[in-house]
Amino acid sequence: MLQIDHLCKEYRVGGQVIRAVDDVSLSVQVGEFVALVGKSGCGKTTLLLSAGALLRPDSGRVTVAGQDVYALGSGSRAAFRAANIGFVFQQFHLVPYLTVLQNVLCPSLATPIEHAQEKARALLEQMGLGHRLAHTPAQLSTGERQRVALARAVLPQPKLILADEPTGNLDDVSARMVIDALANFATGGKCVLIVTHDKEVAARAKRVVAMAELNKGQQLVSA
Amino acid sequence: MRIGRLICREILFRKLSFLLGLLSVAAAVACLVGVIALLDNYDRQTERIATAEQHRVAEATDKFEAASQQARLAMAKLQEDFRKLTLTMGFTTVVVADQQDLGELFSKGYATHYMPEDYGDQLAEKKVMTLNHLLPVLEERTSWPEQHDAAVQLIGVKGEVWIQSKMQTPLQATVPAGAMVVGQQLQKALNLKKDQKVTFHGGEFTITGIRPGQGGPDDIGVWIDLATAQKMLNHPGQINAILGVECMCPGDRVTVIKQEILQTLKDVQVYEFSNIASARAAARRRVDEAARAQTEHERQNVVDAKASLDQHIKSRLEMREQKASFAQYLIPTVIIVCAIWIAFLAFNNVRDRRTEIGILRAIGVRSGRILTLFLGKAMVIGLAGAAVGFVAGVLLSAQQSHIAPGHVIHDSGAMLVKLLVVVLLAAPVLVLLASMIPALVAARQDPADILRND
Repeated sequence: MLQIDHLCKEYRVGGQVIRAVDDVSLSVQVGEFVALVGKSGCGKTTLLLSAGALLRPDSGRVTVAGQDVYALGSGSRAAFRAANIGFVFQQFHLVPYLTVLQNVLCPSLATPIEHAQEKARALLEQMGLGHRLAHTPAQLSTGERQRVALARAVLPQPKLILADEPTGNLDDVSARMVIDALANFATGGKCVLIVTHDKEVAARAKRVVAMAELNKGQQLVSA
Repeated sequence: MRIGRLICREILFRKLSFLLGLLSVAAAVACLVGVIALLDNYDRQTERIATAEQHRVAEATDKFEAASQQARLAMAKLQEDFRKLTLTMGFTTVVVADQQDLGELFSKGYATHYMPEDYGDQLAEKKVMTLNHLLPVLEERTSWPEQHDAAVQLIGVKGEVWIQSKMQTPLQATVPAGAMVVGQQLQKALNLKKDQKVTFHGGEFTITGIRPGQGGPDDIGVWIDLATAQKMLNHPGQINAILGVECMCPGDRVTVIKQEILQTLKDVQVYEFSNIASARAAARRRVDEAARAQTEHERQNVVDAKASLDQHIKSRLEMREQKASFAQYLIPTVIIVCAIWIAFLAFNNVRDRRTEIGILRAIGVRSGRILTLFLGKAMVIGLAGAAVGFVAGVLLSAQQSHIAPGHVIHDSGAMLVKLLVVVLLAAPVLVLLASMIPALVAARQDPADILRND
């Protein structure tokens, strides 16, 4: 489902060039729930964003559902992202002025979703937020916010969900609920790549990949 | 989920930012509308004032013309009265030799000093303006021997030598040689009849006319031709008076007449011998003077009203020029400040919504829709600001013009409708232009950069 081949990505910071991802290759199959672990700053998020067709690599190729995502133009890539990739972030990134239901419906701004309202309501019911539909993110607990973010990612029925430290700000119960939801999603013919440094979360994954093993070596390449 | 709902929710969420934007647009629009409506109100007031002043000038002109007409009519009436009077009165003025004693003249009823006959012709040649109907006469009290020595006033005439207008008929018709005209009193006393043959001082005459009685010496008058009278009275080539009708000249008429007559004849004197004519002339002069004074007063009113109108309009136009000149600087300044403020608010909004932009882009919302999000909000601010500003501008102009807002709408309705259309189009365009750069910045933000750093 997700195929990353020889991915390299460098950043220029204060006149220095830092290679965050160096010749990384990774494959995630349909139905897989893969955890990507590693210490902070090791390039996990860079790899995740590149895999999500958001961050063009300096070299290498990212294929999702057989499509080389960076071969697409900006507009097509956005459309592809809307239809095939869902994101969950540690900071939730909910739109503060929209209600829970409206936040979940946000993907419908990017791509037409049949019966979006009904699906969104059903998803929120499923995640125990049926009574919170008209609430704004500020009125929710952190766990609830992450479940809303997860529902938003799931609504368009993407083939791949990319989650960056989704349980980083959650208590154990909430974290478990989120991981359960992600695991369920993966078993439904989809796949999940989760970045985490939480061992318990990683333990729930079908496969754990250490960033340190993938990365040929994060290094300062010039000054 | 529609983009419009997102815009509305965001506006409600960030009310202060929206209100600040709206107020700045409203201020600019109110300024523009207020100034235009104010100038329009000012122009209308000027028009009204001009109309009122013109009305006043027209009234004054009417009064002036009425006074002039009244004076003309009064003078014409007096003229006509005088003319009728002179017709019944006959001659009013007499020119006699300068040695003539007035006491003798009035006691005897005729002049006792003589002048050359051609004196009348000299005046006629000069075409004098102060006297009309000049009639040289030789006149003397005598008796009619053939009629029991009846007392008569013998008057020898050769016809009027000077009549100013060809339209005028002589007061005293020419009496040809052998003809005689007698006064009514004499005719009655002697039982004379028209066409009767009579003998007078040995001469044969036919009575050709009877003069109506006038209550004076002429009632016993005998008019014959001058040459015959000169012969009878033994004054060949002489006359003792030139009769005339005075002019309508203002002031001391006798003095005026004398001035003109003495330029031609050095040794004569002029007298007005009719009191009625004198009184009438004096009255006529007073009426004329009063009419002239009234006409002059009305004319001055017209001049004053016109001057007042010109001054008023001039000062209002100067004031309008000043206001328009001030507006020329004020409006662009306010619009520029408004545009800068809108741009600043839009940049601030983009910064506040950075994460929102990042996640929306991440889930596949295209940059064009992000642009629409910001420009849509700008459009709402522009439209709402234009509407609020328009109302505020109209109210402001009404307040500044000291007239009710209803009157402003009533008086300037068509102009205000056009202005409303213009501001409803121009204000959103202005806000869109001011927000364009921030919106483009928002649309071009790299979602990966946002999500990686947040």
